[in-house]
Amino acid sequence: MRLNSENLVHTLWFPPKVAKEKFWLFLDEYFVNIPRREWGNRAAYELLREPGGEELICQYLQTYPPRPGKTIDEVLDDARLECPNSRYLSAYQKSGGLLNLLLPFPEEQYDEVWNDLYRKYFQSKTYTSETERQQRLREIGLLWNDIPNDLFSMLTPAQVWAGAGILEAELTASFLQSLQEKFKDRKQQNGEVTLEAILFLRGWQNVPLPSYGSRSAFEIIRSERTQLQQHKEKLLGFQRPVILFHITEEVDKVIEMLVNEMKSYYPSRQIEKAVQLWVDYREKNYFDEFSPELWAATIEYTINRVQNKQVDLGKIAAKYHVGVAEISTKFQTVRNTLKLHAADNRYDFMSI
Amino acid sequence: MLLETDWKKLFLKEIQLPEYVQNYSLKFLSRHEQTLDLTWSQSFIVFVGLFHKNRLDDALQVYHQFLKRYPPHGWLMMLVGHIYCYHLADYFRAREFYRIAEKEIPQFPKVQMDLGLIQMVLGNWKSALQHYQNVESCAANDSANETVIRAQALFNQAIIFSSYCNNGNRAIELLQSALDIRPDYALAQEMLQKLQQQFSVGD
Repeated sequence: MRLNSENLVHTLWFPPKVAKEKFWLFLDEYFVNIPRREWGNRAAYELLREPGGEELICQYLQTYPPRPGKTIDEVLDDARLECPNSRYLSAYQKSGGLLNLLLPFPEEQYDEVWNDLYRKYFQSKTYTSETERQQRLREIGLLWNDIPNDLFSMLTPAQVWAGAGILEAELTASFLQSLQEKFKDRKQQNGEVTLEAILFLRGWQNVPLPSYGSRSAFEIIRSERTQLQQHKEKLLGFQRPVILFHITEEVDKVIEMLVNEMKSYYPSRQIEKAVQLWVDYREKNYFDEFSPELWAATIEYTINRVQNKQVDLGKIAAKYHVGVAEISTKFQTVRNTLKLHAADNRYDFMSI
Repeated sequence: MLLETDWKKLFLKEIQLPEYVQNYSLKFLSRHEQTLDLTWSQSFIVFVGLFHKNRLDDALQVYHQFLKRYPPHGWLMMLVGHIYCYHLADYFRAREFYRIAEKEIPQFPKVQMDLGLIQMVLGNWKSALQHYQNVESCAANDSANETVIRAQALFNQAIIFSSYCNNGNRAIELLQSALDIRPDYALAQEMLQKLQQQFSVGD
């Protein structure tokens, strides 16, 4: 099954009605993210930033017109990147890709992550000026961009903003095929069937896929979207401000320690990767006994190992006042849980 | 306005609810005596009637037209949440209603079970697990209904541990606990057997 055929969309069955609308949106987002041979392996969002790029895209769209109901100007709008200097509010209007296909469109009022951040870190403070107030709001917005959010099936708003890539399109085709087969005798649109279909998706998204190196669809999608996000942010010259850590510290003791201990010796990009590694691990292992010192030490050691750096385990252990053996044990756990490998491009800041 | 005693009698006569819901509703009525009027009780009766007849769109309309402007009654919020979750597949809105219900009636196992389900639907398994764990403290008595809910909560936790946390051992423990309280739980038996086989192959 290929996703580029318009007829295909008309023949597919989607449990909730909104899924068809989201699927069109998904295809629009995908279209601008796909590198094309005729554009020198660049995607529309890249080409649009170059002189003469808009004309090339328009020429292409005259030969291969956009889907019915979509104008060339709208495609160009999709390809324009908004400046990531504050909250990625557009995430609420995006499809969110495969993981969000069967869910309703999210709305800010139901965003528990945002409401929580707003209440804890914005409303609870007093401000001496409007500038200070706006600055804080911007910082919280930037923090929100990078927190996995259940309004987006645990993708971050920034990952939703980035849109889908080739692997996600492949996985979507594969999932939709399985969905059609599983529900072939019950192609109705009601709450019961929708619920069953979503739970089917949730199970499916976590199964290790041998043809993708035993990674699950969720991991593949998240990683591909992160790469797209980073690439787009780099194109826009966006540097995540270190000040964000001041807010993040209030959220997690391990992050607080990591940042405090690493900031004198490591570049901020590497600290960011260490924080990302911890966040990813924490997400998967809620049940581990909690010792912030041991985890911070383990993450610092792990990030060095991932990035192929020589590191003295004894020094790290001494710095955090924990045992060498304890760090080694936890390192194995983190490595196995996240299926880490040397120069892993998820956490190797040099590979970005 | 009806006299307080008439109101309560009418309410209890018309709405044949489980005893614990009646007690909760009476408390709610006395707490909001000043703000509630006959419209509320009549609309509530109509809402419950429609809900039980599975006329869920009509029930929702009654809620929006007549009941929305009154203080949130936890049990009502739970039922409205149920309609949004199971009937309309609007999980974000459903969660809002269940959150209010959770504040009002924290001890209702169904609220925790349904919040667990919604969080699963939204892919937030950590939060789902928390809600399923809360069921244990809600469903404290040994009535048949609560035994079923407790076993189901344990079973759902086992699914989360095996599918999302890659922790088959914990899943097996949870399934055994589910079968301890409900030995005839076929789904749990089946899953336990599968996991045990999987683990013995792994060894």
